[in-house]
Amino acid sequence: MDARQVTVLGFGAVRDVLGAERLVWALPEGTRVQDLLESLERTYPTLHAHRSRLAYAVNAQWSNLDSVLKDGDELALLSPVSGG
Amino acid sequence: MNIDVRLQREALDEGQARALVAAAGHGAVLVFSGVVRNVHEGLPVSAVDYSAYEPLARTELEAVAREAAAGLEIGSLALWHRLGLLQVGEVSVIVAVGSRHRLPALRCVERLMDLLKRRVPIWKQEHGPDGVRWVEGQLPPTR
Repeated sequence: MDARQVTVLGFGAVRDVLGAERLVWALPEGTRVQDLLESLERTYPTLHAHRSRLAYAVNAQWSNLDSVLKDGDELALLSPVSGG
Repeated sequence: MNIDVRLQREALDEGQARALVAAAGHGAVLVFSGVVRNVHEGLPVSAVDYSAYEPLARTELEAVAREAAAGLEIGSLALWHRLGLLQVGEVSVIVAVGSRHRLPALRCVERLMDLLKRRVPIWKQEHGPDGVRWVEGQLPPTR
């Protein structure tokens, strides 16, 4: 299995769930955002409670659960926004 | 239309924003400032820490500025948002609009703040006597 690395960024309340704004996660080729979330939840079970209230971006572009991640991608997990 | 978008940690200057959008042909110059308030949902607030996913926030600030002005006769628009820890009374966001007449400027500011609060990946964490808490507003629309 070919290991790939993805940088995961957490913003808003999700940052506290991950315990950091940035972490590096290894996953096999063909991994979708959905798969990565399931993998993260095995280490950070409280992430599950946020799943229905998350938006996603890959490499600073809006994305979704079906997006396939490539080696070196940056996935951002975005809590409901509150600027202004 | 001239658009000036900024996302910065330094204090925002309302006078500078006003000067940027003022012009001889602009009969209306409107400067809206969002300011850190000392209470939210009945809880006391002493400061607010603003954070952002900066590359996407810059793109979205530019996009919402253009959308808010679409179809309106707007000459110049400045949209500036602050990041970092702000005390009560400090300015967190400025929308400055210069236009020939007042109604497009008023409409533009209203639209722009609504879009910003729905779409732009910026978060606030409130600080108060009971600790810190994240403010959760709207989930950005799925693309």
